[in-house]
Amino acid sequence: MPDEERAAPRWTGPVLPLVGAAVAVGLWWGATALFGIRAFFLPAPPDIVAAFRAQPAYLLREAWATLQETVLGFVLAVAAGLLLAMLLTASRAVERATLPLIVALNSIPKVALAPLLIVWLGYGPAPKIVMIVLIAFFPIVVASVAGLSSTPADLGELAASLTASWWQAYLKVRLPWALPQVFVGLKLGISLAVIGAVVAEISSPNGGLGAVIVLSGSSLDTPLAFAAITLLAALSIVLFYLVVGLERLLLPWARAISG
Amino acid sequence: MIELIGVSRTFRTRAGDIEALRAIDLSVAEGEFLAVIGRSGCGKSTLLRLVAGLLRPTEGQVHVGGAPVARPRRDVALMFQRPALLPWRSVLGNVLLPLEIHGQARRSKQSAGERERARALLDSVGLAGFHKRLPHELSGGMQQRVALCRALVQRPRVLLMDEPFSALDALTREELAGQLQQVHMEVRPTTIFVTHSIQEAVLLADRVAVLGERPGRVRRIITVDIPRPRSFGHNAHLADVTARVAELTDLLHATDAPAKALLDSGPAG
Repeated sequence: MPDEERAAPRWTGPVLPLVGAAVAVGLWWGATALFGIRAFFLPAPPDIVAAFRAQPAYLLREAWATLQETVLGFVLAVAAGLLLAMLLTASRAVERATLPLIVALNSIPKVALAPLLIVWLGYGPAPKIVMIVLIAFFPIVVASVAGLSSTPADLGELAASLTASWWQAYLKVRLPWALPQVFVGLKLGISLAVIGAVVAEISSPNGGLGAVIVLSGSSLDTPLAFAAITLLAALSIVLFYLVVGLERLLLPWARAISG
Repeated sequence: MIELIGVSRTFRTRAGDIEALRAIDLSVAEGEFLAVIGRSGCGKSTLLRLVAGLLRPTEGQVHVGGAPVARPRRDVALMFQRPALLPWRSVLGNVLLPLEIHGQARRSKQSAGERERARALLDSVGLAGFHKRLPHELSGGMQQRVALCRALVQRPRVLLMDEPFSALDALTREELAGQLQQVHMEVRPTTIFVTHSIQEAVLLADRVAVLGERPGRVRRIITVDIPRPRSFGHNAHLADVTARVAELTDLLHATDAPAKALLDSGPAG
């Protein structure tokens, strides 16, 4: 790879987005000061920092609760999603019979199920985990199925000509070939998992950052709500880039062949 | 070593049946290098896949080593137009793939020997120092050399090659054809080499089978009795090489439609 082409983005890469973010925050701050917007309507950045510093232990504890739910739900969604994708692609007939059904189920807005999950599973952590799994699961299945059924013809012929068994061809060719696509699903899934956690916490506000937002909203403590939202965004970004980092670590070849 | 007796192959498609090959009789002796040449769509690749056991003939029989071919065999290696390397495996890992699948790459004395053999093969085609690279870090020509090593590592008795150099630039093609000639002179696997390059066929083959079009039939078999090593540089056999190239060019152009031959008067390769 030509190094000189990559050298430039390497240092401008993180700088330009940071400049953009700083400008956006500055405009927001300036607007609240210039138009005298009150903090309960739209808090200025220092109000949010102050809200966080007023009760950091509480906010971090609730963030930790959300993080635990999200990660547990995501891991379950990944396990279930990969397993189902592997079952579906075991035969062409099974794939053709069930994939349309899965796509159709995916079109149900999972958020609408939140009240039902509470009816079925009570007020504990169970409905939250189930909501996260439901919402993160489908993109993982669909992307993994796509990956597992996209093995190039010549690699399939290669495995056949080497007298590979079905299982050998699956493990040595088909599964590794699918991994970049699986990661497309994982990247969608992790962001959706955070959304699922918040939706579940808002509909059953007994813990987590979603509950903080509901409670602070009802007491018109807007800076606290913004502090919680900021923490949620940070959580979501960190989780997403952890998945991206894992992909780069495990599949250094994937970016090279896709682009 | 390889025998095709009255082999026909028809593909069923929605648009109706397509007859790819009709009544092919062909035999390749042990250690012989047969080039199969013809225009695009004349069933060359189908022929190769029938010998490889990836396809079954609609009619007729295919024998390799005296036994009818029912499925792919371990002593038959196939090389494709594209390198078909596994992008997540190192160069060496790709070459070792056949041994792993055949169960010879486990931790045993033999496996150490086989690994050494894979390394030596890579070194012999000029890939020393690239063993740990990933395929995408290599040029197209280097990738195809890795594919050649992968085909040779299983010590095949039969080597089947489907236009292996056609995706490469002209200079790289000549270089690789030279290396293949070297390999064939040393190891002498029975080889069927499908190509649409007359030059490659004359450089490499003991005999050249010219296929006619739709359905593919063997139009003529030409013997190339020029001593090896052959080359296109100036040497004692230049006149023979040129004569064979001219003969094959005429044959390929005198195909089913004479008027078309006038239009496409450039070399078919």
